[in-house]
Amino acid sequence: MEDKIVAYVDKTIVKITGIQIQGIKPIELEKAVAAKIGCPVRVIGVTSTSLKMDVYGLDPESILRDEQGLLQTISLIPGLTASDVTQIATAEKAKEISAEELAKRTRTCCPKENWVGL
Amino acid sequence: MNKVLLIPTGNEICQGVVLDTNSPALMEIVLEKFPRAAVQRLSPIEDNPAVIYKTIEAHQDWDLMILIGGSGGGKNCDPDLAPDMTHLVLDSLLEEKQEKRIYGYNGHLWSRLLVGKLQKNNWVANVPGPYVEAVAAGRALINAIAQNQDLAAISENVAAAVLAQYPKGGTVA
Repeated sequence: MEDKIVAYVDKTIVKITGIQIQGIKPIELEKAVAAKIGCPVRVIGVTSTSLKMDVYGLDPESILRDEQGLLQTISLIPGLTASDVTQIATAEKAKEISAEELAKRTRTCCPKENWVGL
Repeated sequence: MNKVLLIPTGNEICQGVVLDTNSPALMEIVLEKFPRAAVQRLSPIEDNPAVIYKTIEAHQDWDLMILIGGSGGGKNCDPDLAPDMTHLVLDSLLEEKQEKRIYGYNGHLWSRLLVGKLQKNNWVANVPGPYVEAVAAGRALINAIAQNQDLAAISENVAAAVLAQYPKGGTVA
């Protein structure tokens, strides 16, 4: 196996805002949403007022089409409180870049990761 | 393997926004292979490189340290995400190490997995924050150490385990 691996996984990145979160178990949310939409889900970012997740194998349009159903599902998760302003703020498909472009990246990939402050 | 230290990282864990379900799962995995081990979970630490650095330095007498979370591109790839610092600190600290980097096809660093040894010859490794990836990486790590695999093999097995958690797996670039 090479040291640099590219995972060719089709995903849509979904951000939900207008929620209050305290004491959530992401795995519970992943299971509930996956059961609702029929696709694997991975929670990748959580703040006290928003969450971001990767949805694999489902287009943004399909996710937005049943926004209310998705929001209702997540509102049942312990530790998460929805409100009238809860919404899918963004649902964007991850855009592929070329292997050549990726190969040009530095070892740490993202340009700002040149952290040397130790 | 007598002493194993679990170090959860992340501001969202420190604040209790996200419950740390990874540490109990990893503890169980360690005890399955090393039933006599003393396993301790540290109080979670913030996504602060200096804090992570000092924490690792202060626990060099542990046989194995597993740092949880902070393994991706984080905020550098997406402003909504946490600043992932753990892998950068490990990169600077570990004397002998192996690493694997998993990228999405969008070029974002999804996970940079390091395993290595410090001066006192103890093991240090990181696992990703998402539960299924943390458990998969932790299980692969512990199994590989229990089998006395070398660094390269351990690194390979941990990366393969994480990669397998994505719906269609991955391909080597």
